[in-house]
Amino acid sequence: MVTRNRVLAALGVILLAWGIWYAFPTRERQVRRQFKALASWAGKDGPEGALATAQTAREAGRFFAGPCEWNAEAYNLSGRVSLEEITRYVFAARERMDKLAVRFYDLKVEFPKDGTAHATATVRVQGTSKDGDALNETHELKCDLVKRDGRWLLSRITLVQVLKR
Amino acid sequence: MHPRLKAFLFPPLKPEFVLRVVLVAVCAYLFFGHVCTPFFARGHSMEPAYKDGSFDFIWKPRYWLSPPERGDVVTVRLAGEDVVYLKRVVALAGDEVEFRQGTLFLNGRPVDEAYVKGPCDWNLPPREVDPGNVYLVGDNRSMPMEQHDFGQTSLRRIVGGPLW
Repeated sequence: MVTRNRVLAALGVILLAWGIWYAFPTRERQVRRQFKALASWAGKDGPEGALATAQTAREAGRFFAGPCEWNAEAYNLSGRVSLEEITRYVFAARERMDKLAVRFYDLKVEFPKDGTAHATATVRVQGTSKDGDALNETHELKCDLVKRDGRWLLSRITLVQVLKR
Repeated sequence: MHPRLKAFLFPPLKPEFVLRVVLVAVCAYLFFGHVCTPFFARGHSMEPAYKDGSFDFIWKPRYWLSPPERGDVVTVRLAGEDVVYLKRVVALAGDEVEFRQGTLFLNGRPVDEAYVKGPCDWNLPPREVDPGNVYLVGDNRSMPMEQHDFGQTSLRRIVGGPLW
């Protein structure tokens, strides 16, 4: 009986420690969770209605600060983009795709000063367009994030040109 | 169960056995995590040499003592080494690279690339590879040039080459 109680007590302590660890994430884990949520938000398993697409696109404010600076030489995309523009881009992109999967790898996070974060990662985007064309893109990203209302938002995204033509 | 088989499968938990297990685990982690890393090729850019889904290892010591040469297949890190590019070195620093109607020209001379099997119609004006860089292209050039990731990259990004 004593052994059983000890095992239960140990399990309780482990559970409590895990609960505290989960409920009070460090700022690095907050940023990591934000990237995980971003990947989940951007993904798409199959065709969706225009209403659902619009609803998802409207949630861009959960991840992007407005305005957000984009630097993507490979796509001739540079400049500051407002939240409304991001919402429009997201809507258009989701409308074109039947399936979309976004995954982040090798995520490293630094905090140059309070309330700001700098993250580097490799992003892999795979999907199929409504025309049946396959999408398979892999890029290195450098991102700046700012903390607003307890949430880490992307304020600058740079696509690193690993292979320069 | 035969006693010898039982002793092999379920050895007594002596300190020597635990130490042996720990040593094997540490060595395996160091070897497969930092020296010879397993990977799956994803995508079609290196076909037919490396097909989509094929399995291989990245042999990291390959370029510890000497830089890559023309024709070598190398792996290039991005933000880290979980996802890497697999490409072929076609030119070294100082070389002039050009594509004319799908044929690779190096320093003004056409290159016979036996590893390229598909049709190719790329045209790329001449450009010089910067010092400390190598020029990388995939073997499969049957797609439009815009859809293929290729170009020069720093030697510091090269993390090794496939084992076979």
